[in-house]
Amino acid sequence: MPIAELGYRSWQGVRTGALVRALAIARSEVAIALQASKLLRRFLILAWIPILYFCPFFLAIGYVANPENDPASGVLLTGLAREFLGQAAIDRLRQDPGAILPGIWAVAFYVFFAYTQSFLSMIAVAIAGPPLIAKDLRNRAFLVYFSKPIQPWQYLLGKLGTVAAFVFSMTLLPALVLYAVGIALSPDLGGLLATFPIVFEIAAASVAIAIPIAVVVLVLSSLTADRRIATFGWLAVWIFGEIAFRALTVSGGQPGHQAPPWAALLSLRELTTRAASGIFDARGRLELLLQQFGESGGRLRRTMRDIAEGMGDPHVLDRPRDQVQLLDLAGSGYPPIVSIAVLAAIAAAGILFLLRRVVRPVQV
Amino acid sequence: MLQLDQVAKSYGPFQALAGITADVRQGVVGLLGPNGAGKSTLVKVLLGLVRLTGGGARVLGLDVRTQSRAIRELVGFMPEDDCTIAGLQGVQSVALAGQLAGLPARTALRRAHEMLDYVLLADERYRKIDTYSTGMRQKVKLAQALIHAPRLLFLDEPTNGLDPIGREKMLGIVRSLGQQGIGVVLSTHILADVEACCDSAMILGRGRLLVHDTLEALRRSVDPSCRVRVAGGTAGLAAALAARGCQVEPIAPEEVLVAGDGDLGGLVFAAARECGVAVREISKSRNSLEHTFLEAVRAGGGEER
Repeated sequence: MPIAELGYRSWQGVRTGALVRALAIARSEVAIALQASKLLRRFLILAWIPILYFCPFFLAIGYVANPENDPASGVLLTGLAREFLGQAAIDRLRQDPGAILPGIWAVAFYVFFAYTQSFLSMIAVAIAGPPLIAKDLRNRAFLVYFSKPIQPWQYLLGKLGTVAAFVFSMTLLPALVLYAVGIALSPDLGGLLATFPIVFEIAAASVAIAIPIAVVVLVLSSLTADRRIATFGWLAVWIFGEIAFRALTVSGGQPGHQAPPWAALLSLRELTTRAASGIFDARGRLELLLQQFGESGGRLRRTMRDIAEGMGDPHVLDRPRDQVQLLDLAGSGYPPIVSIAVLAAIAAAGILFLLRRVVRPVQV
Repeated sequence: MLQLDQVAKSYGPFQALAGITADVRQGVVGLLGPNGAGKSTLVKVLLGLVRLTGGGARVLGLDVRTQSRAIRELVGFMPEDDCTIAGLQGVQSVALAGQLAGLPARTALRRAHEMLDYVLLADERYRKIDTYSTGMRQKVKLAQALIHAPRLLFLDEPTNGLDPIGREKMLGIVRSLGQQGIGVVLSTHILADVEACCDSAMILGRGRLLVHDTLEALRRSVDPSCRVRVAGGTAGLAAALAARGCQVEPIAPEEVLVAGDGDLGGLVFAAARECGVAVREISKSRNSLEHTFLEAVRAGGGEER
């Protein structure tokens, strides 16, 4: 028998709220995922590399947009801007930066999201997402959660938050840093005021990518106790969907060709990209820029051509300007809002499924 | 502490709990029964994890149907299943349990260390929980159940997989928690665990409550008798015991049933010495706790739910 024993000590204090408890689950899962996968840590670093490409763009645009800067003295930056926009666009930009900058920025951020970050996010989710519920099934961890005052929605919110954290670290955070760089290089505060709504568009586009992706990967994870099967399921949904979509749209090189209306539904990444397009109003802004810079050259024009090809209308830039009518991002007649609605429906159905699914192992 | 009123739970046609009614007072309560008796189901019902199909129950005055979340704020649960959150260290796992129960992150970490000290898990707490032995996992599960300072603790087979020393320590902890005023419901199929640390016991069999009484009452013998097996005939011994006021009933050529008041063992040895017979075995008759439990085991069977 001990002479003195501290023994059990009780505790009294103020308890945290429901959201803080869900956050604790997310924080713990993020830590586990980062500890478990060196590959994931590398991808998180890799996700910042595209910024290195976009920073010179914002630097050059910011420089030439400032009427106080002499294009002749900043040869390198002016040259870069010319490479990106073409001379006619630079002249137009210097005349009225407040009217032109938001459009250029929005298209740049759309490209940033659609071409690099959404792809990297899919890979990060393939690493971090599949084990999230599968390992709880395997280790019967549900009782650890639900024997505490945790509701199924808090558990799900924690798991969704885990996936969202990785997606945001590849979309939201780099985009906000990029925006800050752009603002820092803007000619004046007018740039900040004109482009401020883009911050909300960045946040909304990040959510539009993160939530449906997170729900789909969690549904797959909840169907098996083996994370490898869940990973395979995710890769199948992503890669086979992408291949099927490309196969249906590859003949878009022919004038007037339109992919079937349902083609984009096959590819989760395509749906998220189109949702981002709708949020950034890429179509409207591209049309505006085409009308403003139609005669201009530069990388922006080539990027626009790339985007137009992605939309299923590669000949758009070859038509007379007054006939420019970009097909919407569906490539076949339905507006981007449909993609957002489809993603919202996928997310809602997935969450309902998961809410029913996660309480079942405890009740047996 | 617990009020059960015709508690019933069915899984399809199978009735796991068949109308259990009991009023359980504060203390350490043994929930005893063979595998498949419905102990784990009853615990899950009381935590609000499993929905009742009939009757009602209150835990610490709270209704299990409508206030299950509030119940889990006040109650700790150590599950029987080997359930862990893979990838976490022992201390992280306990701290997370604290955060799930509403402790702020820093408080949860500090208290996780306190609880792991209390359950005697030393430096192993910094190892990944996936590498733990069964005994270590049991300690972590107990620390997880205790971290939010519950008023009532449900322990489901806490001594499963423990070596004798680990078992003794675990039961010591249960006793000490009871002494500090924390209500404990100890669900087990090991009679000795209940006898070692409980104030009262409930015995379940096939989903029914067979017995619910204090341990003191349950320890009383069903009848005050013992069986005595001797070498060398029972006639002399019977006469010597009868002279000492005992009732003796021969039940075999070398075995008698002795009944009487006082220290029966001492009387038997004194009588045997007097008449020169060797006592080979004296066994006390079973008390009602053993008797009912063994009856339940015989009648029971099947798998734990």
